[in-house]
Amino acid sequence: MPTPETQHLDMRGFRLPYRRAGAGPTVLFLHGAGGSSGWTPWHDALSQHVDLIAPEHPGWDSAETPDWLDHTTDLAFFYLDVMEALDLRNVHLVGHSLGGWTAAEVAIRNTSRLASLTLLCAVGLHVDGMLAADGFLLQPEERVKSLVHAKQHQEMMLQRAMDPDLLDLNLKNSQIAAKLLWQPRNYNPQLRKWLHRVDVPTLLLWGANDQVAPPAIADAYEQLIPNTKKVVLDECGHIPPMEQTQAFLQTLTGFVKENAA
Amino acid sequence: MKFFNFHLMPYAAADLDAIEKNGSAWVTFSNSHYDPEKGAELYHNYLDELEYAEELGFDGVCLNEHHQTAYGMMPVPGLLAGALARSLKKIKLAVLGRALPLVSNPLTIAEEYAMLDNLTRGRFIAGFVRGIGAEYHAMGVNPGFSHERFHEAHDLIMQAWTRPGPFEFVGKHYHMRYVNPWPRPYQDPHPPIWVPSQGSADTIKWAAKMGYTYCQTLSPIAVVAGFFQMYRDAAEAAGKPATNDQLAWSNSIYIAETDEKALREAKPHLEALSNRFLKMPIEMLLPPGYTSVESMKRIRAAKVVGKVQTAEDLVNSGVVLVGSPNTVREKLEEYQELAGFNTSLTKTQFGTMPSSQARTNAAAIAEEILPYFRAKASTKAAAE
Repeated sequence: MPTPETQHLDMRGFRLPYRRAGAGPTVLFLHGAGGSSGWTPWHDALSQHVDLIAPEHPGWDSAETPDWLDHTTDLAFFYLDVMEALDLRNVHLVGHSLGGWTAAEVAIRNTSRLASLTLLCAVGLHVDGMLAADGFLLQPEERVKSLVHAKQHQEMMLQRAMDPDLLDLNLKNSQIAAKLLWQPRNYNPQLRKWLHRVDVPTLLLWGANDQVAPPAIADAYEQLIPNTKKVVLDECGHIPPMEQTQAFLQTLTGFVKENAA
Repeated sequence: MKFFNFHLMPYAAADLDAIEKNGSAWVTFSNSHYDPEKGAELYHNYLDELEYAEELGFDGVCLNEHHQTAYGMMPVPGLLAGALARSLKKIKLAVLGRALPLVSNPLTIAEEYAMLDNLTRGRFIAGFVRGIGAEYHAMGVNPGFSHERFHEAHDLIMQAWTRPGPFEFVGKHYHMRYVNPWPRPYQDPHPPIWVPSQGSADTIKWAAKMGYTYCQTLSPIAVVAGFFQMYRDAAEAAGKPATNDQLAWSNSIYIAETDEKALREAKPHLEALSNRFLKMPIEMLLPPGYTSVESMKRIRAAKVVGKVQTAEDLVNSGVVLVGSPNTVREKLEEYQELAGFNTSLTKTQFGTMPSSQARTNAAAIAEEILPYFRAKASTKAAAE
């Protein structure tokens, strides 16, 4: 399938870039702090099963950085607006890392357009005694090691990180990422108080070796959200779509089908 | 030219190999390496050195603020300024400066500076900085809001000093129902504002527009000259032409009988400062949001961060002045003409230099360098 064209949604003066392809249940995928990665083979594979909507967050990749974006909760309200603007219904909201935190913030506010929630290696909660990798201080090699588990993936990521265009993009992405993640580091202390409000089936999909969002965070979400299913993938760090593509796709599409209206 | 004695108060007893092994003396260098006995000794030596600076005829002394580092032991510079406010009787006292974005309530800085201005009966100089990038790691403050918080904190402090209180201040980051700090500054309307920077174009242009004295930190003199010209151009464009009294160059000076002797004696301490105390990875120095994407690209392309510099490199590029009295006089005169500044912020102790050596150096500078530039300044004033 060819890469879908980037479309733009006008949101009160801000233009949201997004790609959309496939048919079936609607999956809205919120990417992590590293950026959208564009439309990759796993996006393509996922869109064979679902109607996949993959936006580039405000401030990331080709999107402009709006003045109103100061906090992850701003991003959550924004995506509530987006779902309304596109009149999406029975949405399977999937969020990776920072996108997972954002998805959780969406779900504690309003689940009326959601059919399910998937938190993929999500941050957003702090767990006592857990010390996650500091992606802002680690130097490139160590940073990559903290992100992905297998050596060949680490080498691939390191090599890709040298690409001058990607270096520039990472500079841009890290600016907005820092704004949302720096302090408190990767979490909102208020979030745990309201996770009982999440009244849709929730999949917690994690890498067993995740050092950025250690599996202890999955355990915490499991305790706080009423209806969860937890799947932890072996030999997998913080980026399951890259590291365990098949297991990621199977688990996610299976869960979406189970919970399709 | 005015000479201020600038002290960084390094933890000179630091194990330099341990710093090298850790990769930096900042943030992650464990404070288990700090020995309070040695630290206490250093604090008293350093304060003694600054008191000695008055005796020697310096025009003022400067302190600054850094956190969680062996590079400087002054997380709370106001405390040391308080001690000096009582012991210094004539000369200026400058804190260069407090890092405004790091505090959750900038009124505490307005209060602290006003107290120091009262204690010194108006001999206080108020420095405003953003703090270097490492501070944002150390203090848990978001670098993405650094610029916003700096400007908002500045506005709040200036209003607190100049508007009769109480009044309300509502910003994006700071919300104060009552702004009414006691005491008010001693100087009318407020202490002089000095703005030190590593050379951020935004900061230079802003300082020029505001008419604040700009202080350039550790840089090769040719680069300093460019920054000072940027300041003068920006001041001109703002319709407030600047004089060289508004420009200060921060340097280190070391003199001995001959150039060779001076270099030999200064070398280990300069290199400890440059390659150990100052060293940090770019991720620590420039966290995302601290500086713009465009500046980051320029800095990345220049590949200067983390480069090892020998004492000879520092001398040759004009970051520091090391040599015989004659050499230092000539160089400083040449640099003053090249860059255009009337204030030298001079470190007489740096790196691991012991106090006895620092005091000998300060005394020699006072004897050999200060009078020459003072005479020159008064001749120039008489001619005008």
